[in-house]
Amino acid sequence: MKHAGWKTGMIALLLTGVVGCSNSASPEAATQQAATSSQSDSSTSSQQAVHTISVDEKKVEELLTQFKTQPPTKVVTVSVAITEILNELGVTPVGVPTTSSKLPASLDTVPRIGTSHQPDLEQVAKLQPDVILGPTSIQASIDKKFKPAALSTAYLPVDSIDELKLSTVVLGRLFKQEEKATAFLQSIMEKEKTIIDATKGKPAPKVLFLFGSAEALMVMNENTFVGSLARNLGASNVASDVLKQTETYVPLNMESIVAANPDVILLVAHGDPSAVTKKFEEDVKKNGAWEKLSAFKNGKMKALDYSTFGIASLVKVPAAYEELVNILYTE
Amino acid sequence: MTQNIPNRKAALLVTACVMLVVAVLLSIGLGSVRLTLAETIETILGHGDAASQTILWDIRIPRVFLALLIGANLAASGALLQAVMQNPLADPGLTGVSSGAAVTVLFIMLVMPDYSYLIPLAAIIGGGVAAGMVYSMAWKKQGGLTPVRIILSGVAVNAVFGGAIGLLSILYSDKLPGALQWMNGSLSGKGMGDVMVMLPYSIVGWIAALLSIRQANILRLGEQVAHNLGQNLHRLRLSLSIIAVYLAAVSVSTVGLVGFIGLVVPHMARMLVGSDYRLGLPFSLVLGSLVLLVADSFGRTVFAPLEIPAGIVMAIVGGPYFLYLMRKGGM
Repeated sequence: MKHAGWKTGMIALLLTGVVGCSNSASPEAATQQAATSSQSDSSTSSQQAVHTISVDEKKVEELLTQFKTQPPTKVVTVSVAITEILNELGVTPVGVPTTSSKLPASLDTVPRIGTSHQPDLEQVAKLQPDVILGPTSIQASIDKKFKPAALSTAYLPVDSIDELKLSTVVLGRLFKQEEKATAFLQSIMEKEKTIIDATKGKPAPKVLFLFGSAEALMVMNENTFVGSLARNLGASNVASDVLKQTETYVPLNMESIVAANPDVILLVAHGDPSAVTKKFEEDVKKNGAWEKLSAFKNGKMKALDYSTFGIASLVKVPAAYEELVNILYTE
Repeated sequence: MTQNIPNRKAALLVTACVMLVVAVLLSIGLGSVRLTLAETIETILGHGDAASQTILWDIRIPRVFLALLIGANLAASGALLQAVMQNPLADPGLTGVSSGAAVTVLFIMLVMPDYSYLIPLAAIIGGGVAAGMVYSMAWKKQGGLTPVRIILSGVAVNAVFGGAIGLLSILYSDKLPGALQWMNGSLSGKGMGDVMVMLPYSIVGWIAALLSIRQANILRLGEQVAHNLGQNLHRLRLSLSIIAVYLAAVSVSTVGLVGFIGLVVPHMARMLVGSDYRLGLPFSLVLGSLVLLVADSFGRTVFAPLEIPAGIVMAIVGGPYFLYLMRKGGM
């Protein structure tokens, strides 16, 4: 039996395709300047400051090595965030994920291939894509699914805003759409800069981000989409700063939250946000210590709009920033 | 023991074989991508387009064959254990195989995901160690192995491993979604490679099971009969258990924990062809294949592009049928 198992293991080893190492490293502050060709000679630019898009060049190269054919002609995406970025670059996938989020209208006629977590292998195989683009965060669980059909896959990090920017640069380079990528990133970063500048000098609130449903809440650190936006706005994320949480999502532990005492508590709820908020408030009332929490006293416990914050999206960054500023920096 | 098998029951076995062939053909024809009969036949003969080739040969056909193998393995394992325990409620899970395998596999998936190619090996080792624990705890110098002690020690060992599963799930809850599929026992994402690995192991197990029909019949008839025939009861129980554990362990190592089938199929066989294992065991093998194949094909086509794990389909559809047989057969 042992021997049999050993053989099984060996064969499995041979069968396992080389899976790229997934790293959920925190988005580094940019160290190198990307040599993006910013030939923005469009007469419409009334902006004085042109931001250079700075990303970690080593990571871009590393991510690009996943692609056998450059540029791929037929792409299937299993990520809403990646689908949105491709849309900005003018690239139309041959298959996109089935999702409750709104995809660009131009993709209405593109075949849906199942959800991000449950892609339908037969539908994907039917499209015969050169590459399947997925999010790094669920690589471990979905990469296995594509194995039997011998389809080539590539994964891009698309959780935090820095990761979204990095992946935009990667995709821009891959599809030879660097100008569009740069223009798109610049327009986002313009708005970003304006918003961040407006919050400079204001006291940084301590924020706690919760994700989930009424039954199970998870604490999000600053590598998540909303967490990374709050960090850029100068807020302090109690999960990262006080609780030293390295995992992106960790189950809620009441005591450590009480000890950290956040000024603001924000919920990203899938399902009915009002129900989740109500349930949460009931739990708070039951738990005496919670009444002492600053967030509760300030009335700064809110459910965020899932359509803006539920799924990482570069397109929604400006709107998401606006909403966060309203909550974090208004009395 | 020596009475002849009545024709009616032999006819049932033939009927089941015919149904199995029909089910195989239907399953190959059904899937989330519609292929016409002509396309299917052309593709199988090697003339189809690339997409159809991939869908049939890499995705659909391997799944069909894997369902046949795993279904037969689990049903045979359950049938042997029910003879050993002289208890109609015995199933492969009782021996600790499933929970032991789940602990080692979850540990690799959640703690050392880079070593995921070791999963089949880990499942065999974990399942084997747990079953070894169950039997060594149940063994006594005076009195050897008795069904009730095997069952009690199985319950206790399962509780310990169940606790470990719970612990791992809580500590690594952020990575759990990827592991859930394995925990629910799913055939999705399996390829021809898995079938080829599984085939020799399964055949060895089936031959061993078929060769032990006489011993199973002796055990079934109780201790007195065995004594009169001069058989060592404990050795019989141990040797049949080893075959059952082996069959369950190789199955779990490939597709995870598919429940229900090892418990219910031997029963159905008993109700349809009686309790003599000369017909009951081959019938269990065929019926196990048939039930799992139908459940899996149902699960992957009915709600396409969403997939329902075979275990869930079996519980919903197989449960009522089982109850019907029970009422009708007057167990």
